[in-house]
Amino acid sequence: MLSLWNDWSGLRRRDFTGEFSRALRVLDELRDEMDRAFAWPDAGVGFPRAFVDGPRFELSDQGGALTLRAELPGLSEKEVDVSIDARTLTVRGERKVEAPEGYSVHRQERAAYRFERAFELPANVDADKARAAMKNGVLTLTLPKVPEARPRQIAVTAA
Amino acid sequence: MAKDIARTTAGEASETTRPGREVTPPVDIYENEQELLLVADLPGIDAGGLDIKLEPPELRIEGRRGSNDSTVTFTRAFRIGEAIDPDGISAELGSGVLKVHLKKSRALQPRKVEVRAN
Repeated sequence: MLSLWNDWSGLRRRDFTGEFSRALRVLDELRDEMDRAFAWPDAGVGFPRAFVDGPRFELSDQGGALTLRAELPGLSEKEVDVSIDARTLTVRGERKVEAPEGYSVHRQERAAYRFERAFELPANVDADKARAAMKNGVLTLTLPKVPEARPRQIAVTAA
Repeated sequence: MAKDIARTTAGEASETTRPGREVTPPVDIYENEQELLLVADLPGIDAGGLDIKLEPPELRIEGRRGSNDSTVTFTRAFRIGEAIDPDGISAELGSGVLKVHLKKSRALQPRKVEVRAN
């Protein structure tokens, strides 16, 4: 049985060849870490593991609506809670990671986490028309802006 | 000489400046008597965007979503030994989580030996 473990220790990350691509990869990682540090006020210098492994969020302005995408693999719609209070959007959830019944654990990289993220929205939205959908482990929120906050086209007339 | 360097640099640049984001997904590995079970987080990937390839001894998982600049590629490769039956691999995908079942070769599975009374 021991040889089996050895086979599995060959588990590895994607190979990158060449000094140049290695350097680029290091820069990418550094940039990701900086992004995380600045996106998370309490993080300090240590980059807590729980956050590094936590969900990834993307808030974007589509003109008529704001959208938020969150990567939440393994969570069902029942395990995510979304609330809007005036201009603050809050997303909460918890992911549990447990070994399936009767299996022993060799490697556990997928983190269990509990998260709560609050976003200050850049525009007033109509909370009654907000929609939330969960598909393939990705939560997509669509928050239509109130009419006054939507972009308007101004016609230019010749003087 | 200068030409060679230019060519090498251009070649590597074209390899790494592929647009989009490349992700190494976290993976759990579990085992019971019959199989090894791989569990990987692949948020946003559906069955159509998933490619699982076995080229012994490598098992490669690649998931892709989005297009052009917003492409996200999840890649992970594993070495699997003779302990795994190449015909006994199956996979299921749900809620952005992939499960790959790797059946052990018969020789490694526990066997029950019946003892008959004489």
